[in-house]
Amino acid sequence: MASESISVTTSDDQTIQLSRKHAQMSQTINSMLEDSVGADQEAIPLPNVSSEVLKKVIDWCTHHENDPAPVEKVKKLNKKREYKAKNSTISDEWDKNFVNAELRVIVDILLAANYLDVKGLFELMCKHIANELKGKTPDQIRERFGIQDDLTEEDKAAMRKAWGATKNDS
Amino acid sequence: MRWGSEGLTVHVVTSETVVEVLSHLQPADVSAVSRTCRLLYQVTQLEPLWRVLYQKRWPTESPPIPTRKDWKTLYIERSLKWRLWTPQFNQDPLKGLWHLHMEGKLGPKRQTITSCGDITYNSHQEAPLSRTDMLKWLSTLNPDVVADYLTSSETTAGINKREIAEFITDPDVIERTQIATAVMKKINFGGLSIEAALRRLFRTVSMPGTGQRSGILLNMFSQTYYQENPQEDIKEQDQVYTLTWSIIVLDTDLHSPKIRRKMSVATFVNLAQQSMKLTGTHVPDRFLSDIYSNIKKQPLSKLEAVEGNQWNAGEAVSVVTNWLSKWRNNNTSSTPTDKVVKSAVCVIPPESVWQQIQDIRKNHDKAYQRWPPHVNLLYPFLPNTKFAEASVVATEALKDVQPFKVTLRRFNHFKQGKGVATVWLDPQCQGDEMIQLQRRLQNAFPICDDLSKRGGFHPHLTVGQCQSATVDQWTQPFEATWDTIEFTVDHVCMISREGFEDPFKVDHRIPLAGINN
Repeated sequence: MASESISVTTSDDQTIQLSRKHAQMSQTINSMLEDSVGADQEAIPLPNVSSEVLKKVIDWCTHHENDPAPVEKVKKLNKKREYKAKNSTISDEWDKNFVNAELRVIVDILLAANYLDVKGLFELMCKHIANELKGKTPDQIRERFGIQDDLTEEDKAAMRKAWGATKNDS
Repeated sequence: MRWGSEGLTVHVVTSETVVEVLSHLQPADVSAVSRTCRLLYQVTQLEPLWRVLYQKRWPTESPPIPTRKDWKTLYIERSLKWRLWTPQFNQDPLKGLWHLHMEGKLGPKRQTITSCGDITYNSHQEAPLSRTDMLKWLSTLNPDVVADYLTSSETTAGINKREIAEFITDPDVIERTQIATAVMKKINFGGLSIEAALRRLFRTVSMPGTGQRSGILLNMFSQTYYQENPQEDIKEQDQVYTLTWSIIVLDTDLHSPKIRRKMSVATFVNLAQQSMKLTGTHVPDRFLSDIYSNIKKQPLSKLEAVEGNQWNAGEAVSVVTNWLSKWRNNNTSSTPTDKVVKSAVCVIPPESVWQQIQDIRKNHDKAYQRWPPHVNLLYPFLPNTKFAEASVVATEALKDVQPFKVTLRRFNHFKQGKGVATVWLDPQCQGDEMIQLQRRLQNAFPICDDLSKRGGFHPHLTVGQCQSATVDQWTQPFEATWDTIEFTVDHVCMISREGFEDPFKVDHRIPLAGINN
């Protein structure tokens, strides 16, 4: 008999309750639940996710709990449709507010979404980071993301040359 | 991978995740990311990223079947395919295509193009100067490849859409090549509603500048649409054409700032149904009112109003009316593509006066074997399969023209390119009867206007060709011995030939003033 709530243990040893509906939005937890059918309801360990981040994930799942189920990714390379659907603008107002956070938090959520396999959330974080990268120079990107510059001037000149050809016409 | 420390935590992000992020970017942004650090540079070289970028940029193309090339190379090659020559096309379409060809981008390059006469073209050579030579060369290209260039999504972003439209509606291009047809096929209207198909059309081309060219474009569109959507509700090609014009008129009316009072849905439905009636067809009112609300919501072409600067609803309406009245008067759905150089309408003198003319032509006119002595009135003309209907139209057009006398007394000549002159006899009349005769026919067959273009119609009966420089000396002996010929024009001839080298035969004689002789 499926109970209404699930317990998970986070990396900082907190036990958090979440509804079965929300838990099932994570493919990772969902498959763990399926594997342990009939077993005692023990807390599921999530050693890669902190309680702070998990709460954020649950917030997102709560807001999106009634979204239509994400279409199963077609593993075959019949990609045409998928690419047309790929749109890098974030249209949902709640989502826009949600991603308005410190970079550290954003990256943590991205990692958690990837680990927990929450498709919509992962996609959202990717879009958000991509938007942060758009139209910036390499210097601006390094500054924004705290990246160490380990390239020589020679490297850079060679890269610029190689890239010249692939720019858009427009 | 380290993705930012910020003195806080060290995050480990897999390269798959980075690829996922980067796939939302344009190549220019990917380039910037690659130039931040070594690790990110390596990620930007990964195969899956380039596959995604490729398919995002050219979503409608089937990706190349696995080759030994990696996706990045494929991407670069694909993006270089056309871009260099786009500005050239905008300046001069023919020259732009010439350079593409010389770069080997339009299929196998021919070192020697034999059909261009005695001129040999080598790669990187300048384009031929004369338009005629350029057109001859154009007809040797594979029309599908040219169409691919004209319609590929990223070139149409660079090529001026109006240039494409003017190019494919150029009567010379239509007559000599299959490019226009290939472009229409490539745009692919299959499975679309007329309105959606028109929207797609205007993503690739814009409306040409003149009413005549617009008619040509929409005619080609209707033909292609009809062929590609045979079992739709639309029954006749002419119904497609009429509907198409109705939609264009509506779009112009609703979205042109020059027109203050906009058509109501009832007016549109009424107008369209009236036009339909003339083609003997009918569509449900609902179908038309749906079109009205869609067009009202969104103009046919987002980027530029279809009307452009030179186009206005008044012209559109007059083109529609013209076309419809033509339809009513004669049932020949003549399209520009129907004109052929294998038929003509001309005046042929009676055989009793041929002797003198033929004596000169035999030795000096290269067309001697193919053409009888003649004064061309319409050439090129409709194919002889349409002669039955065409002769009815012509008879009607000439029913008020009285027979008139023509005198062949005076020699004259045209100077043409390459130092060649055409010498001809001037068919003199009392007044301008010959010009009037041609004008009547021209009005009855408006598309066969080749002889009236470029400085107007000059009636002439060709007797030979010679060097321009010595044309006077050449003509002098003939003038000296010439006996004036006089004959009455009481009919015109519709003539045709099987192949270009075959002699013309008279298929129909159209009487003047309705008199049969």
